[in-house]
Amino acid sequence: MTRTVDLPGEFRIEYREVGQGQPLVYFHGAGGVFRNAAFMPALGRSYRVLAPSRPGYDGSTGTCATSREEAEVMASFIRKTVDGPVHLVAESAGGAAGCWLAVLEPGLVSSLVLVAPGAFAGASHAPAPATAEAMEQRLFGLQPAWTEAPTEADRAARQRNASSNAPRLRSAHGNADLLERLHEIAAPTLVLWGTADEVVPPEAGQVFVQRIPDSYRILIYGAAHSLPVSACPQFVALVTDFIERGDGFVVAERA
Amino acid sequence: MKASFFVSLPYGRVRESTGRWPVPNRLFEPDQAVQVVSSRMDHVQLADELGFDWIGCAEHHYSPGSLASNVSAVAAAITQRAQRARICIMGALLPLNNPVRVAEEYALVDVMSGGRLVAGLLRGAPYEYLVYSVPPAESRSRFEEAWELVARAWSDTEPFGWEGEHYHYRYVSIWPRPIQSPLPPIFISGSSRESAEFAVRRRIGLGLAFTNLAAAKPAADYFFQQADASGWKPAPDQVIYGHLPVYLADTDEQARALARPRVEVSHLATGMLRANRLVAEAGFFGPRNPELLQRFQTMGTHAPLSLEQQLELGMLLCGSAETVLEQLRHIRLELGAGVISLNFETGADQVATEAMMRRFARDVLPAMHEL
Repeated sequence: MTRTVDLPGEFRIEYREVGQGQPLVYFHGAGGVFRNAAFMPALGRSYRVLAPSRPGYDGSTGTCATSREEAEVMASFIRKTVDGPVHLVAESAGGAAGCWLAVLEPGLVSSLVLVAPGAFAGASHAPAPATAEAMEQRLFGLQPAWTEAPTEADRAARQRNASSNAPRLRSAHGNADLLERLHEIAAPTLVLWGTADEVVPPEAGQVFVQRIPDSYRILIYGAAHSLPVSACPQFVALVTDFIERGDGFVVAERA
Repeated sequence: MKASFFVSLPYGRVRESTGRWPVPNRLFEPDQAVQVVSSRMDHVQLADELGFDWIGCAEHHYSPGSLASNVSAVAAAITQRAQRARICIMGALLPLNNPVRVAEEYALVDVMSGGRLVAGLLRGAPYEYLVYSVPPAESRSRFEEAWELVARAWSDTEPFGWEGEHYHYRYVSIWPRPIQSPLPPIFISGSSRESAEFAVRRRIGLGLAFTNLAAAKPAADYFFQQADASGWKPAPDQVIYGHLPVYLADTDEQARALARPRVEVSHLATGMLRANRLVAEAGFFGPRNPELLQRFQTMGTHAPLSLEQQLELGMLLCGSAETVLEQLRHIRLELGAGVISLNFETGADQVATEAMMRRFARDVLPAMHEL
């Protein structure tokens, strides 16, 4: 269901909520929160999933100049809706805000999953897709996991979110300030990337495991950029395994 | 054009011919195996001293045809006897092995050789899929995933995990990494269209082995067509053809007299033919390659080809130095191959084999390098 919450500073945050259990907050990418993404109900079988639209996206109001400011607003959101630590999953353009939140508010983040975060990556070297369908395939792969097929309105909303917010997703110095503080992230961190990611290349994930002390990186073979949609079963299984097993996550349970 | 000396580690004569595959190892005699391995490492050193450009080896199982069940161990031994030549592993059979282990072992060979590894990563012959019980229909998808994993293990410099269709790891961070950066030269086998397309996508070389010119030419042509369409021009060294038996003599007649009794017989036991057919029919070649399936379904049902037919098909090098050079020129023209894998294991004794190697190095190799 979709709800809204008012926060200090004229921010009204729209968020979707599904499921029960430990709170898990999902920070969307440049396209916003997808109403029909199958990973939401899948994670909702184990967790109380809250997916806020950050300021300027979809029905959320207010604007933030930097990812750090976004993180500060999201900290208020978590205090208002959960009032305690959450498992934080931050995808693509939401990755920088997720990292900032873990740096600034360590008490609010019990674990962090970064999904192809674009915080420090340069532009993709792959040629721009010629068609909307090709762009969709680049983002979501050949077998996207939707609860129902996206409508033209969904596509228009995704495009609107991306075009109106993308120019300010990075601070002027390319998140260099965040790069210097990644080592302060205390939460156990899982970095996920698809090997077929043509939006942010998998090599961009190295810096996160270099700098975040308690971090792991998993590559999902053949998966496109938006892993929650392009590789939904693997994404849900890895996130759940990481949260549930803690350090034991690295021990094999199958060949 | 470069010459790759192929070390196949054949066990040699077996005291009883069963026709079966696997060949029962009650027939294995340790002294003979020790002698074989020792003599072939002498050949390696000689090939290196004679100026052969590469020295190649390949993985095979469960038969006296080759004792190279762990090709990385063979390659490691070669590094200790060959000081100059590149060492071409053609290759580990990737879908049969742990890909991270392959990445580790190849990297170690690259270090042991001072950066001379040429890394062939192959699917193998159909019968090999009975060795470790790998489903043949999964061969292609296992190979492609394992290849990606190996390349990532060689090039990525931070620990990573892998979640795939066939392989699952929480940690990969190999020590050593290969010396050659960003990657060693890589080949895959290329008899199918899928292989050629994969090689072009990854900008890697193509190996055409255990085939003939008639079958290899369409495969090579398709590889170059696909490369051209993608804006890539493979280097000559990125197409290998072999492993060609070598019969070199003063005259064509003398060379043919040497070759005829050895090549006009079938070397494939009925048990191996059956194993190949069963695996081929279980989906090894996939739906796009009916001609390959048919080839393995009918293999062994015809009389062996005559020497003249095999020469026409480019299945061996045979003749005087001039004739052999003409045969190499023809292969270069037909396939665009820049490396020829040569097999001097023609059934002769060690003295005769070494004499043939010396003759080839003296009479053919310098001019071959100019082709």
